Amino acid sequence: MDPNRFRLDPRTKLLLLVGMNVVIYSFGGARYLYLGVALGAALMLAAGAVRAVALLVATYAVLVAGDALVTFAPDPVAEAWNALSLSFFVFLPTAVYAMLLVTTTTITEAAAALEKLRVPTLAIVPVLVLFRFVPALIQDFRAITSAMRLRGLIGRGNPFRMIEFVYVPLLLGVVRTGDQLTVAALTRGLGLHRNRTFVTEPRFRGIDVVAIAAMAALVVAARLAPVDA
Amino acid sequence: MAGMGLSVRDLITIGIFSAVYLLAYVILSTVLFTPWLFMLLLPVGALLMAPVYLLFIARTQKPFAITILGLVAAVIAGLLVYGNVLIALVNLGIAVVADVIAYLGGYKSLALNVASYVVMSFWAIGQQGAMWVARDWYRDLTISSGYSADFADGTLDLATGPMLVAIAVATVVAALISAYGARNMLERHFRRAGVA
Repeated sequence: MDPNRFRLDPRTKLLLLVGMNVVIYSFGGARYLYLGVALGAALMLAAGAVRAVALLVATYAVLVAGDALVTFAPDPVAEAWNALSLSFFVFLPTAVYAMLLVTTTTITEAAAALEKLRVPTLAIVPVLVLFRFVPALIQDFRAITSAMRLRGLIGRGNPFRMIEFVYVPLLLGVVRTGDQLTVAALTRGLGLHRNRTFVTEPRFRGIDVVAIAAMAALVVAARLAPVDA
Repeated sequence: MAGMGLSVRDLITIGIFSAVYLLAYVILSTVLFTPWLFMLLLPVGALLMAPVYLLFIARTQKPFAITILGLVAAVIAGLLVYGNVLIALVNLGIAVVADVIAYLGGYKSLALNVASYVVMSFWAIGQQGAMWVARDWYRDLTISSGYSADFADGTLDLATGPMLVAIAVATVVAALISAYGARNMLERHFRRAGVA
């Protein structure tokens, strides 16, 4: 058996993300959003991203429990909660497919897929750097704020100075990481004129067909058979 | 080397600063989650981002850098949040205008770079802008996500003409304050260290 039989082609994942957007903005009703999330979660499970699915289920549990509890809360609290959970309900379906894309795709796979889609290098490099860099950025931010808190520089005093205490080390770190990434990328031949080759060529498999068919069905259903909430 | 006069180094700088931009606005729109607070998104963003933006210009100083940052951010924000081609085009258009303004000063004129920043501060108008220009679309979206018509209308009641003017004025003022602080910060910490 092919060990990669449950691994989606990155191009499929991109298509699914676009498809989910079409479902959301077809205004077919909340039911289709839940179906879309379920499909995304199933694909993530198939790819072995168990932790991401657990996080997703926990988020939904909190949202649903909160929606039930908030009916007993005073009005301002209820309004604030509704606004919060609305932004989550709109955002989560696409977030699921974004998570599927990011957690189950390696940077090299993504590069190969984007190149096959004939995206120009001008756009490929920034996008790949962006995805590679976001986790590092979050980590840097946490480390800096906790270091500043330890020194008593956050939480009291002039807010503009507090911003400066976080910004200066963060931006210096950003610039330094950029220099290091540049060296790493040039070492791997990113600056060459010739086309790069890839060890693993992206390839459509059976699971891609199943996933795309399921999403297509969802799009058609949301368009043709809207359910009133 | 990589095209349009941008080197691989520039492209990596663009990627990194796009990450900072997107992350900042994702965090902001999560923190400002109620309809009332959300009206503050553009001014608060404008107040925070000048050091990032001015440092970005100082690190690239080439045509198209701001445009590509806007393109990358618009496509990713479009896929994740807005799901709407028109909104992505508005985001991109704002970045192009900001790029042209900075280009007029050779990316070295402080006044034009600040003007470029003021324009770029309206970058995230996106879905919020839809509350003014596409009320029905916004209403359908809210209701289709499982919310009552009352809630949707309550949110849209905030989107009045005076509110739009107030947001625009607050954003411009905040951008100028931020740029003033950023200039001092860059001068003191970055220019001397040789990174800006």
